[in-house]
This record gives sequence, structure tokens and C-alpha cells, in this order.
Amino acid sequence: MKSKYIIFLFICLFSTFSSMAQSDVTLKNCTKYLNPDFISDGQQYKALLSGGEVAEFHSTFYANNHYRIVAATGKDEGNVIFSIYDQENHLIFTNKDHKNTPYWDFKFENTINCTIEAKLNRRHVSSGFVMILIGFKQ
Amino acid sequence: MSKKRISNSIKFLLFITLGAIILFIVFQPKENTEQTSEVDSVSEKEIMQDANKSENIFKYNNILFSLPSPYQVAVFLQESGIPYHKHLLNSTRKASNYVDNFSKAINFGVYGADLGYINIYQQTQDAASYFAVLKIISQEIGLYNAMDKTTIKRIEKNIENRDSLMVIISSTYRKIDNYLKVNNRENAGALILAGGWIESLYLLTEQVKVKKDPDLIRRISEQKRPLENLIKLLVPYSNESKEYYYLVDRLIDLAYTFDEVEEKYVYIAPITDKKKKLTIVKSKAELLMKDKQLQEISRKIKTIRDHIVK
Repeated sequence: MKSKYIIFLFICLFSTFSSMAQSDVTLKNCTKYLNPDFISDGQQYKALLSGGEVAEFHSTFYANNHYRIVAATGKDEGNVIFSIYDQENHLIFTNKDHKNTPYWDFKFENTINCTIEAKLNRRHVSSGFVMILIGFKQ
Repeated sequence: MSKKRISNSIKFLLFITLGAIILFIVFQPKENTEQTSEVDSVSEKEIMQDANKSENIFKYNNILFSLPSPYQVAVFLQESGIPYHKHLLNSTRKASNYVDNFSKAINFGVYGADLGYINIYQQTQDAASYFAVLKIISQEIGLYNAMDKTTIKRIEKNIENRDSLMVIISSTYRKIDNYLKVNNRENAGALILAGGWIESLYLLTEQVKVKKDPDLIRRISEQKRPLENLIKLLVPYSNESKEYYYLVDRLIDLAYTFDEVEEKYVYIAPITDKKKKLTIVKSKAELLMKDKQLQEISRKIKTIRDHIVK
């Protein structure tokens, strides 16, 4: 009986460390594409997704600003599919068309309200933290 | 199973567990670029460790709302050629008036936006005093992990370097945002964002009173959607206190005026440059704000701002 508890404790410890490692790497994978040219908008958008769940981020992008959107989950790149829609739900961009690239830059000629949708690439990941960072250029 | 066998398996499992911990510590991924370590201090790891304690990351059915950085508004002001106006900022002398958590958190956002404005105009002396106030409030509202000694030292070291300071402060605010979210203090995080947004809009409207710059007026009208996002962020906590309720109520009232601003939108297909990893969004959006609406917005935001900084 005792050994069952210990196995359970071991599994818990292992999953905690594995989760810590995943979040740590995710953050680093995001920030490396933002720094030093892009300045964070001061917010960190993070979602715990599983299966086909979709996270939605509502954002306003200012005219004549150069933005970078970075998305990551875990250590391997290309496991987050993110798409950007305008206020009338037209698809502006999806990284699915670009081998699930972890970042993309945007220049807005006018101030636009957008929705960013993010989901996991289910071929490789079934659940995990998805992190999105938005940066702008000085 | 004999007692001896149980004891042996316990020892074996403890040994494996210990081994796993050591392996994790030794082989955990390390950032090797200097640039990243410069901008993102060691505290981020701690923040991410905290992140695992909370599963309440998502609200509103997986929908998150973002607000533009107060720094962007400060850049617009500077680019429009308007000189620095210290008298518009919230005086650092008022900091001791903020005794409750609500006023501390919201004024942390206000002072943060002020520091962004000061930084853009490169007013080093003012930057030092505003940062001193932010440092005190951050400790009072328990942001030890996000605003740790290393971060504070880096900010103080770069106080005269506009560009570095902008990067460091923005990333610090991002850490604070995350720290509060994962520690189930989203209410405080939302107040900080609210303070920053209110102060930015206040600065814009006050400057427009002096110089009727069409670009700045457009920037004011563009706050329509960020305001909606801000209200959605604050509404879940509106019954936490009278102050919170008042703030949300006044912001909703302000949103009514913004709703009167006419909006036109024409979709134009974007242009994507694969090599540069760049998409140029060409859609046309126009916000037609009347003089009366501008005056009403200026009046309402001043009332809200005066109330929170009093």
C-alpha cells in the first residue's frame, strides 16, 4: 500500500517538474523573438489548452505601428497555430500558411480591432500552456 | 510483500525521485543570449514556477482582452511635437495618501503611465522620483517577486537610457501582470491596467485642449475598443468594493459617449511578405468624433482621473 502512495508522489513530482520546465521554456521561446527590438505591451497572455480548445485574444492595433506577435508552447516550435481576424471576421493572417512559424510581424495602416485565435497543433501536442506576447517597435 | 522489500522499494523510489530533481536542476534549459538575459531577469523563472500553482488562467470562456501600452500614447504625444508638461502628471507627493489596496493598485498604474511619459521625454530627474514611488507601492502591494532587487537595480542603472528603460519597464509590467494573474490577484492586475489606461487617455485629452491636433484627436477616438476591453476586465470584480463599483460605473458611462462616435470600416486584403515575415494590414477604419463628443470624453475622463488620484 505504502509503495502505491510513493509511486503516486513520484508521478506528482515528475509532472510538476515537467510542467515547470515547459512553462519556463515557453516563456523563453517567446521572449527571444521579442527582445530587444520589440517592446512588450506589458501584458502576458497565457492559456492552458487541451485538445481542440481555442483561446481568443481581443486587441487593438494602432495605425502606423509595427507589431510582432509571438506564440509558443513548450520547447518545440511550430506547435501553436495562431490566426488573426479583423473586426468583420476576415482572416488577416494565419501561421498555418507559414509552417506554423512562432512569430510574425504586422504593420497596420489604420487602427484596427482584431481577434487573435490560438490553438495547439494537435499532431504533436495534446495539451499545454499557450503563451502569446505582443510587442511594438519604437 | 515483506517489510524488507517494502523498505527497499521505498529507498529505490526515493533515489529515483532525487535523481529526477537533480537532473531537472542540472539540465533545465538556459537562455544563452546576452540580449535576453539583459532584458528578462532571473525572476521570470520564479514567475513561471508560480504560474504552475494556478489553473485559473482563463476567464470568460477562453477570451482575453488586451490594452495598448501607455508607452504608445506617450510616443504619440512626443511625436506630435507637444512639449513636456509635468503639471499634468500625478504628483509623487500624493503617494502617501494611497492607503488601501484599491488606490495603491490603480495609482501604481497611473504612476507607471506617468513614468512612461517622463521616459519618452527623457526627464531623468523626474524619472528617478516617479520610479522611487513605484518601488514603494510595489512593495506595499506585494509585488516582491515581479519587482525584485535585480529588476530594481537594472531600472535604476538605466534611468538615463530612454530606450533600455522602456524595454525594461515594459517587460517588468508584463511580469507584474503575470505574477498577479497566477496568484489569483487578477483584480489588482486589472486595476493597474485601468490606472495606466485612464492616465494615458487623461494626458491625451488634456494635451488636445492645448493643441487641437487631428492625429491626437484620432488617437482619443481609437480608445473606444480598448475601453470596452477594460470594462470587460473589470466587471467581474465590480462588487468587491464601493470604489471598484464606482470605477466600473463611470467607465461604462464613458463608454456610452464613445459609442456615439461613428465608425466606418472597409476591408482591404492584406499584403504578406513571406521573406520578411511581415503582413501589411491595409483595411481602412475611420472614427468620426464630433467636437461635443470630444469635450464630453475629456470631461468624463478628468472626473474619473481626479477621483482615483485624489
